[in-house]
Amino acid sequence: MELDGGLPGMQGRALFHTHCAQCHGVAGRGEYVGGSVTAPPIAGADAAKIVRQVRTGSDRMPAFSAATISDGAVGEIAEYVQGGLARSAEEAGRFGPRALDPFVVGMIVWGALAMFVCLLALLFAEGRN
Amino acid sequence: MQPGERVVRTQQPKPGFRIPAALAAATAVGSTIWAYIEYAFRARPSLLVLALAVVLFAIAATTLLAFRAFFEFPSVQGPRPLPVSEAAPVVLGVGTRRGFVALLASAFSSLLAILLLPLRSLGPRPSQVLRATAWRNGVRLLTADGVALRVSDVPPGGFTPVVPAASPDDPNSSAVLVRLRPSGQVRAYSRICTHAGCAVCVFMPDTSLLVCPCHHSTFDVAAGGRVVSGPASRPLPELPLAVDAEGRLVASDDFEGPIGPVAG
Amino acid sequence: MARLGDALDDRTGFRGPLRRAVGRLFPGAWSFLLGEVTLFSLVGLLLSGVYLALFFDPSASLAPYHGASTPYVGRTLPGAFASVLDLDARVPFGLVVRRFHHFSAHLFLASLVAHAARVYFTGAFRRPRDLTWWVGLVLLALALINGFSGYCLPFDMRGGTAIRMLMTTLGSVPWIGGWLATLAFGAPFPGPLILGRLYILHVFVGPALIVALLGAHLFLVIRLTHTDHPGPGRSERLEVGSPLWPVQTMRTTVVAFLVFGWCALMSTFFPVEAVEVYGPFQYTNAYAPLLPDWFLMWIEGAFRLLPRQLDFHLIGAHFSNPFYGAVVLPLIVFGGCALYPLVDERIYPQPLHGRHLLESPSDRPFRTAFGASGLVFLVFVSMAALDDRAASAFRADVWQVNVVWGILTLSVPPVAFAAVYLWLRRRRATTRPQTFLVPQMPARKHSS
Repeated sequence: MELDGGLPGMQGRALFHTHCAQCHGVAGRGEYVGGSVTAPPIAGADAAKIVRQVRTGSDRMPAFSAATISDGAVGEIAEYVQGGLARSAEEAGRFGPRALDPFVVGMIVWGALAMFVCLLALLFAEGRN
Repeated sequence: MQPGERVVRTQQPKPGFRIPAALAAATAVGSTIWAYIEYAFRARPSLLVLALAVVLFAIAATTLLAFRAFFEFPSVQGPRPLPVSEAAPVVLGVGTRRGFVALLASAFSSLLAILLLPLRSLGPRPSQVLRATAWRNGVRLLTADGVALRVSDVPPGGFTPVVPAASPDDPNSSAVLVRLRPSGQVRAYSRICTHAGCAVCVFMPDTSLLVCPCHHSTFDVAAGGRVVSGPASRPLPELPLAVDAEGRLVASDDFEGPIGPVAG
Repeated sequence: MARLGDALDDRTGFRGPLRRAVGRLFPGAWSFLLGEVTLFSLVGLLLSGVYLALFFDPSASLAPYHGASTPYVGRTLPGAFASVLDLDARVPFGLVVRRFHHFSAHLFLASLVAHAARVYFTGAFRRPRDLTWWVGLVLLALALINGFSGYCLPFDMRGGTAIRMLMTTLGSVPWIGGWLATLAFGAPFPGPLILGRLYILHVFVGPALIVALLGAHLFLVIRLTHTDHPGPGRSERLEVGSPLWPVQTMRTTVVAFLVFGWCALMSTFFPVEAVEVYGPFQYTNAYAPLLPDWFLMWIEGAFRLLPRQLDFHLIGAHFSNPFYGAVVLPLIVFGGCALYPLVDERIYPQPLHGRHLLESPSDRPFRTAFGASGLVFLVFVSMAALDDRAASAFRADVWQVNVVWGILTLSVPPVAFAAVYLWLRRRRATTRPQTFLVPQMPARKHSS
């Protein structure tokens, strides 16, 4: 069940999520794939190159035929990767998609707790308040 | 104070804190106004929250400073009200109560056991929920867009998610079709990883491996879905394929083995 | 005012208990405020959660989206995902309250762990406070479960994958797993029922149990009187502190506003669970780094570390990696924490009246070493969830990273235990022994 992509011309993000994000990551920064292979970052890459790469594949990347991703869909994906992909990472927050990373959130939370505890220790030291 | 208590130390009120307390109160009021402005006129969530944070910190500061400015601060010595008893920590009743408690316990547990039996008839059976798929002999392979596939539609090194024509929305039946690069062979496998159930949706054509992105269970496509590395312990079930009279790909049987993670 | 008080007292008899409660003494050390931080994070969760629940739609059924989040207009989305998009984009204060809710949850769990660590390392769990400790452990488990169900609810890729992990975990229980998973889900994954059920658990059952047990926990703490560090005027028979009214109330109020302010400050600068970037859940899909929140990374790390060779069959049951990682490991961790007070009593026997004063961690080598090595173990297992980052960085295969990290996870905690234990033993031999009974300070009348 792949969800309908939305208005024509706006489907790039949905198609990217469905076909590309598994390897290249939600933000297009490239993620570990398997073996010793890490997918390269692609955000902002040239649209024509992307269309070629999707159709022919490579050693590490499968090829997607027109039956899997139609020509119109490939065009939308390429446009999204070239333009909207980097922007959507920004709109998620000031620090980009790495800030969504649960590990980073965990570090931030513990760092914040440590600072908060220091504040408590300062305010409520023995005999002070 | 309670009877038996006495003051050991009193911190006196500190009038010097009055001005900082007033400043903190003014900050609280001022940032409340700022928060309202952000909300009503500019609608920028981040500044709104920042104003809110300042309000809350200012209230905390006001409370602390005002208290120190105006109130006494006694430290009181008092008896600990609950002496720790010498009794052992076990809680069971003794004597005739034990039999009564045992009777009650057995009555309740048999009631619970009786309640459990009808639960088995509620809803579908596990094999239906966890294992049943829609693939049978002759069922066509469709792409997500509903296109029936020919072998020529999949290039060497190609990868396509497929669903059965009989029921394209059945989650247990989702599968992937790959065409190996060196041999040109077309193979289809279940898409549900046998480790924890994520979608196996990464294909590496040079080594003919299907990888699950969640915990990196790796399956060898050329060797029948055998596990190469990763935490999965069962091979990925293969879907045996055939070609029908019109040249479209069909399944010749259900998956070779139970799909998805082990159950029970 | 006094007449109102009389009227209430007539009907409820509250004056007596109130007077007694108001006179309760509370020691003022800052480390005792960690529990209050947890309490007020919970209050923040409840308040922000009520607001979110007014707008959230706990449904997985698909519908075209015509809301305010532009990249998604026209797409077919699950109801839960669409309602979260609208919370972020359209509902007044929606994004603010959502971020506040998430950071309150993170602070709740982090301060809970910090509070539990403080209690453990100072020995405040000893009998008669072992019941308080056990209630606290149940609260921790409930908090983890509620945090888990919380990030499942938006039904984005992370949430949906987490729900899949839930089904696998339920299903992995030997002999009854198939029935458990079927009872919970009622249909092939994901099915139309699970989201509504998780919602009820998260919004109703979880908070009700947490609040009830928290009440029991606080009752026990107050009834048994608060522990305190040794100091002037304090002994096993006498405590020194400030009364509930007005001093402790002031401290509590200050901590409350500091906690709310801190959550608001974090909400200002950091995005949280930006579902717009992850996209709605599709069971046919999975992304590379789909990690749970930090408080469940230890289970995710266990999934990745435990080798498949440990799986086996026995009398018709499969024992598999998800069972070890998500059922056995938490049972071991929580069971170990629960049994520890009994172990501690054997190792450090004390007279029953000698348990109200806290102990310095350096005076209890076994306890401190055990706790430190346990924490080290949990940190190592959590870091194992980042094996694919390490594999990318070192250009290695992820199984190689897992072998190395697995060896480290098994060997570093025992080494840490031995190191801390021996160091503290040596320190204890060369410093003065701790006494429990401290001479009382002569009473001084305060000058007014």
